[in-house]
Amino acid sequence: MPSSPARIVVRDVSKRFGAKLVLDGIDLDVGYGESVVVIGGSGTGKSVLIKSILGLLPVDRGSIAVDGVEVTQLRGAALAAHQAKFGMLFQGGALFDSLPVWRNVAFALPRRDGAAKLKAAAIANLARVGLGADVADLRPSELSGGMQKRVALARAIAARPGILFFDEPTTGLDPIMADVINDLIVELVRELKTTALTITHDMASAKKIADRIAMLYAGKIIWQGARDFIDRSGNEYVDQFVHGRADGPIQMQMKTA
Amino acid sequence: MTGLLHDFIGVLRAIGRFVLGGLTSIGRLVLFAGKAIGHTVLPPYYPARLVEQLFVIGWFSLPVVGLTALFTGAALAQQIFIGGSRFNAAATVPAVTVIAVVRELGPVLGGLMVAGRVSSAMAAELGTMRVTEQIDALTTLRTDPLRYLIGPRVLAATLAMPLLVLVSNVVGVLGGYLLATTRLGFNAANYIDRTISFLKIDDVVSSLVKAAVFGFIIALMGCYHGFHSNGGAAGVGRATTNAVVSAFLLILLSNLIITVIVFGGK
Repeated sequence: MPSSPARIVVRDVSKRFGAKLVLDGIDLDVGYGESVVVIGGSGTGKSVLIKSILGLLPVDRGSIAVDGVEVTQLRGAALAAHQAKFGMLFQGGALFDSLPVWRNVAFALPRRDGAAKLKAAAIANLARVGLGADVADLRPSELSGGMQKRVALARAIAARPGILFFDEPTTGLDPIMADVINDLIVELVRELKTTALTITHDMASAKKIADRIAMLYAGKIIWQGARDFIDRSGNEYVDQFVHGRADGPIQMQMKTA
Repeated sequence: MTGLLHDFIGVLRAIGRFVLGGLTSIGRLVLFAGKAIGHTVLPPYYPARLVEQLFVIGWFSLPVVGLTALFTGAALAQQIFIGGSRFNAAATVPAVTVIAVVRELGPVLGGLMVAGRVSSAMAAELGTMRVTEQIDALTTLRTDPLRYLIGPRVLAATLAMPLLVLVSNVVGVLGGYLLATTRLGFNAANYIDRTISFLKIDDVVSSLVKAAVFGFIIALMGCYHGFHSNGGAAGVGRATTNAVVSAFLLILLSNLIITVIVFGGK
């Protein structure tokens, strides 16, 4: 449970795709200003969980409330107002290929500000993630994977959202760049005083970013607690995942010839 | 007996699934079309995106539409001359060419060529944006993807196609004129005079109405299949194929319907 009042409250949420039950009665709270990391293997429904909170995916059952507003019933302008509270770093960056870097970063800023002001704001946000003004006019395809992640991070924070979501922020990066991204996330969440929800299977990242960690397995949150307790959770599923062991209660589905 | 009944129920179930699947797809497409129209009319507007799409759809399609019309108009004049000569009606080449080009070949061939070029490109671009989460990213960046991506494309295609078809009609008639005056012995002034005298305002209006409808179909099919693509690179490939095939079929079907409505009673 969060130490502060819950800003995001997920109760008994289920989501099925065809025969596959991806989320099976999820309960999760994220407090104001808290950084929660949801860990779990590939295909366990982590992305489905955050997309459901964002209102991008409808849930089959359950309740999701953000700032006391029930999300599952929102439509039209009310849904757009809900989504405007969030900034999100997507797994692959999801930068717009057709736009230069500065237009990507300034995308959520009011267009009435004019191009010069928007570009200045974009450059300021790029500086915040350690990138110079020289990248502002480049296309996303001209950047390395680590730079793309940082541009995507700058874009996510540009409009100063109250809640930040990070989807596998370190996937595909070398360990040093992954640590740079983790440090940036920690700094930005503290500095901007935002509520953060991260999904990852990178334990180094989880231990660095999280105030609290929850583990998703078989569609349920099977354990949650403060970051410092993750190595002594007393849960054999968590232990297997944290230590990356093939042997244990979590069995990978392997097809035999 | 029980086995036979079981087989019969199985066949009925398969038919029911097929019909329901078809109706669901039509319903989704109609809803998407309604949203697309709504998003071209209601603010916020994206004029820069509209101008960009007018260039992509209109300006860059001019060469392919023009060349198609030129070659087809010339070939048509040659065929009408050969066919007409069999019953002493070779002089009808200017009249039949202009009517055939303006009423049918200009809009239909122009529509098919633009569908091949534009529907596929839209489906591939939007499909790639879908699988790389760029469309989800738009939502988290305070932008309605339908308004930003679909509205400008649909409006641009609906506006650009009549202009393209106007050019296509002129170039198609020019193709017939060039062949008839250089190879078939027609007098240039006489050819132009007969072309103008046989062309009615209804022909031009129906041609432009068809073009606008085809433009809407082209953008709608490209956007619909791209926007709903899934399953990675293979899914984008499927979306592209489906966009082109469905645009072709709907263009030919709507052409038949408009032709029957406009010319069926005359």
